[in-house]
Formats: sequence, structure tokens, C-alpha cells
Amino acid sequence: MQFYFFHLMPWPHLPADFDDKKKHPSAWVTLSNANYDPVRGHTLYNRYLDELEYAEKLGFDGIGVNEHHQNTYGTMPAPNVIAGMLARRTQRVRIAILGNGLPLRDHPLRVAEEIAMLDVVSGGRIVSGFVRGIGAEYYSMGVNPTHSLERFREAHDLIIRAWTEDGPFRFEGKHYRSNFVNVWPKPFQKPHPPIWVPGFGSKETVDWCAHPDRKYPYCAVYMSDRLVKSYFDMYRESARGYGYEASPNQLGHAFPVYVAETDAQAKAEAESHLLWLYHKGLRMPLSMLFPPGYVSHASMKRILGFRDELEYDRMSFDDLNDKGYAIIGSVDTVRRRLLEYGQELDFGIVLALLQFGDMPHHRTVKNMELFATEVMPSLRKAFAPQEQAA
Amino acid sequence: MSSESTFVDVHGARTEILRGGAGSPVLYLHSAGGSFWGAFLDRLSDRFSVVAPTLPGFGRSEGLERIDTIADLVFHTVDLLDALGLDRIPVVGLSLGGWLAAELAVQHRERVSKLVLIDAVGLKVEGAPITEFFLADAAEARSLLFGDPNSEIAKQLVPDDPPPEVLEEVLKAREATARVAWNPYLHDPKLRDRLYRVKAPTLVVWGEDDRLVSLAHGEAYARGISGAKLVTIPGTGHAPSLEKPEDTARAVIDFLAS
Repeated sequence: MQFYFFHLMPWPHLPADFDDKKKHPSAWVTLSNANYDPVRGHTLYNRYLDELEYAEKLGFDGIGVNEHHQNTYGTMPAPNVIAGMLARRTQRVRIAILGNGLPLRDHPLRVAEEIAMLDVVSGGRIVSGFVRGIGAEYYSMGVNPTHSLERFREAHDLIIRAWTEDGPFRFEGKHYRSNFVNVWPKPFQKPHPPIWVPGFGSKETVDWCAHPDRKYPYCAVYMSDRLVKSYFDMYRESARGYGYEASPNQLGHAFPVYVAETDAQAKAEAESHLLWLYHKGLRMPLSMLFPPGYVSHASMKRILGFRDELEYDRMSFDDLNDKGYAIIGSVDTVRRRLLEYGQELDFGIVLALLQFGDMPHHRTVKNMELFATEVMPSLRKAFAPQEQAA
Repeated sequence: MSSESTFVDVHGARTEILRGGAGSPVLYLHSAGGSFWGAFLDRLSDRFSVVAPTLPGFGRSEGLERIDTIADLVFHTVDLLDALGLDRIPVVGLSLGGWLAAELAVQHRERVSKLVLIDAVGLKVEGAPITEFFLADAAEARSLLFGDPNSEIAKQLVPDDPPPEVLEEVLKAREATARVAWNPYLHDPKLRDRLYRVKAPTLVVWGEDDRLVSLAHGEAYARGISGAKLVTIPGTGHAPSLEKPEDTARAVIDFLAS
């Protein structure tokens, strides 16, 4: 099992009347950036970067950042900028960018260049996540969501070729073209940095990741145990359909974790921060999360079928914690649940959100330290034989 | 009165066509809501033979993979007219269909004998941007589309919780619309400057209280097309042909028959 400390860099300073959902139907796209204060932002960015850098000292395998636009949930519209800072301030950890929103860029060669630069500077420590961006991003950036999937696939193909083939060569796609694909620098890792795909709800994407040409790790995000399992099973089934068994290292899960001295204390300390994430940071109408044509009609109907599992604002702390939307408790509880979870779901990549919502720095550090010293080592031990076998 | 559904092959795309009435043919191009045969087309088919194709990706019509822009829809429509052997025909379009009708009249003016634009999108009008629609939930959509959002027709056409078969239609219609209308949002930046090319006699019909595409757009069409006449239908929003089908049909029939 590999452990990543994943940060979203949320903006915790919401308007006082944010609980009024009529007035503030969304934390994304339409929530005015009049609510952003760059002076506070300066302190916050530097604090969050400190936390990411501290994760290396605590022995995490990697640190994770991501891309989202125009929201209070996470203030990292340009994850490669953050990764650039981390590349020079860390020496050992992997830096996972989860990921670059390929269809959102005018030209994917820019992503190919930036990731290659980061990989070279960091000496091959980059994990390159590729995402489509969530639906809200298509409202923010004006990209046509009905082209999202084909732009994603085409951009992916171009980037892989740009990294692995000697240039210059010509690329003539439907969405992207260049008569001279010839990316300088090339990535440090050969054939290219590992590619992970965080996803949310699309069978098309799961199937594409599992294809033997790719075998890209698929990372589930903000789902109940039941849903995570169904997506992991979908992946394993796809792999079997292609004639191979998926390894646990092809499956990841991103979720909030909080560890404290006792279960009661963990709840007392983490409850408001968890509810901030699920009730405030993730607040958006379904039409924003799924713009037209963003997923196939079949996927959309499947998603609407488990709609109640996406209505986070109806869930209490206990609902969220019991159903696996978060793992929060004493050292023993978190250790036991992660152990069971790892065995039951058979996945190898833990993307732990150890800071979430409006959690302050001191609590984040305490949580990181307890997780790294009390939880991680025993799980490493428990899952070591399985990894050697794999 | 009712319609019958037929299918025609348009350059490889299976295309549904609703037809009704008798007499000289009129082409009707539907809105972003999709193909719908209601009282308005009933009235129109009292006088004319109405040909109402379902655009690619909507309803039971195929071929969305070939459509990325409004220009692609224009090619499709010309191919459709060829497939049906319709050389020159009056064209009536509502909203998205109005935009398509206007483009057709600009680019293929020899094919359009008369033009009727009902609350057509398609233009950029300074100071009167088309309201954001894709984010709207059902209740918001009703209040954007209808003069009376609580009317029976509003609830029937934009239900809160559509049954599965209707949901499928809604998802298709949203995708097919977004395909050509996401960005630029529901307009063609070059259309306004090209309206001078329209030679067909033109009637512009507008819901007096259109909250999606304000009357300023109707006025812009009427100003841009030489000789165009603008009429407003009181007590209606974005879809006068749905809310006041009799009044709207009378205005359209009077114009087409003149």
C-alpha cells in the first residue's frame, strides 16, 4: 500500500450567510470571487505548502495536488505551479498531480511540456494525473462538455506520443493539431511518468484505464464504500475482459481521514471540518456537476440511479463516517477500518485527505503526525506480502 | 389533427420527420426542447403540409457525431431538403430552430421562400445577453421559458421529475443543443453582420415577456433583415407557439398565406 498526503487547498472564509442555499446554491462557478482575499490567501497558500512539505518528513510516499477552477473547495487552478514549488522544496517524495484537466487546455502540448519540466527537475518524482475536470469546470472555462471525452482521449494520445516518440512529427487530430510536435524537455522517467486517473462516475473512463495498453490506476473520489467497491469491481471486470488480473496498485481511493486519541475526540475535532467539505465545499447543483453530454446517457441514468449517494448535504457526520465517505476515529479504529477496507476493496493507493474543509493548521499537523506514526506503519506491514506477490 | 412519423436517410443519418396537413409544404424547425407536435403545428397544418424534422441527436434522429457547429446543422438541413425533393420552401423556426432557419436563409437564400423566426436565438446583442440556461433546474427553466411558469403546458413540457423515457429525451436534447450552442453561447458571432443576405420576406414573432432571449433580439433580427416585420404575442415568454398557439399560428398563417 502506498500513502499519499493529498491536499485540496480549500478557501475556508465563506460569507456569513453561506448556509442559505437559496442565496448560495453553489460553492463553484457562481460564488463571487469578491469572497477571495489575497492577503489571507498569501498566508493560506504558504501554510498549505508547509503542510505538503512536512508530509515528506513524516514518511509519506507521496504528496498530491489537483486542479479545480473558480471555487472555494480548492484554490489550485494551476496544479503544475504548486508542483513546481514542491519539486524544489522536497527531495524524496513523489509528487502526484491529480490531475491536469486535459480537455480544458487550449493545447495539450503545454501539459506535455510542463509535466516533462517537473519530472526532469524533480529527478523523476512526478505522477501525472490526467482528468477531464468535473462538470463545473466546463461552465468556468467555456469548453464544450459534449467534446470533453474526445478531447481527453485525443490530448492523451498526443501527450504520450510527444513524450515517447522522437520529434518532430506531425499530429492532425480533430481538436488539436501541430505540424511540429517536438517537446523539449522529454520526461525523466521512461517511457513516461506514471499516469493516474481520478474519476467520478463514468464507466467509459474505468474501462479505458483498465485497457492493457494503459493499465492506468483509477482513483475513486468521495464515494461510499459500496460505490467505491462497485467501481473497483468494474475495473477488475474490465481487466478480466482484457485477459488479465488487475493489481491492487491499479486502484486508488481519495478520502478524508482524521485520527485522534479516541473516537469521541476524533468526532469532536473533525466533525465541523468534514461537514464543511461535504455540505459547503462540494455544494453545487446536479446540472453543474453534469453539464450536457459530459457523460453518456447510459452513465447519466446510472448516476441518477444512485443520486441519493451524491446528495452529501443530506448526510450527517455519522452517515458520512459510517458509509466510508470518510474514515474518522481513534488510532485503533482508523487502523482497523483501513485494514478491513484494504482487504475488502483490495486497493493499493491511499490518497489521504488529512486536511479538509476549514481544518486549522495545528489540527492538520496533529492528524498528519498521528496518521504517519500510528496508522501507516502497521498498514505497510499488513499489506507488504501482498505487494511482493503482486 | 395529428402528425405521422416517417424516417428519411440524410447523408447516412436516419432522420425522423413528423408530417401533418395538406397543401403547400412548410418546413418547421424545432427548438432546443426537441421535436414536439402540439396545437401550434395542428393549426399550421390546417392550411399547409407541415414537414417537421427532428434534428440530429434529438429524439429518434441520428447523426449527432457529424454535428459540431450550427454550420454543420445548416449542411444537414440542406441535405434533408434535397432528400425530400424540396427545392424552395417557407421555413418556420422556434428558438434554436429559428437560429437554424436564419442561417439557412443567409447561406442558402435560394432555398428559403419565406422566413418566420419565433423567439430565435442566434444573435449577440450588446446589453441583452441570452440568459444562462444550461444551469437551470426544472423550476428555473419553467420561469425562463414561459410567461406563466405555473401553466399546465409549462409543467407538462418541463416536469420536475421526468419519467425515464422523458429523461432520455431531455438528456438527448441538452446534449444536441450544447453541441452547437455551448460556446459561443446560443449564437453565431458573424450572423448579425450577414443578415443583409436574407432575401426571403420575413416575419419575426416574439413572446412579449421572453426572459431567455429578450425582445431586443427580435428587434435586432427585424432591423437586420430588409423588410422584416416584427409582431409580439402578449402574455407569452420564450415560446409563444406553446403558450398561445392560436394567436401565434394566426400571425404565422396570415403571413405565409399573404
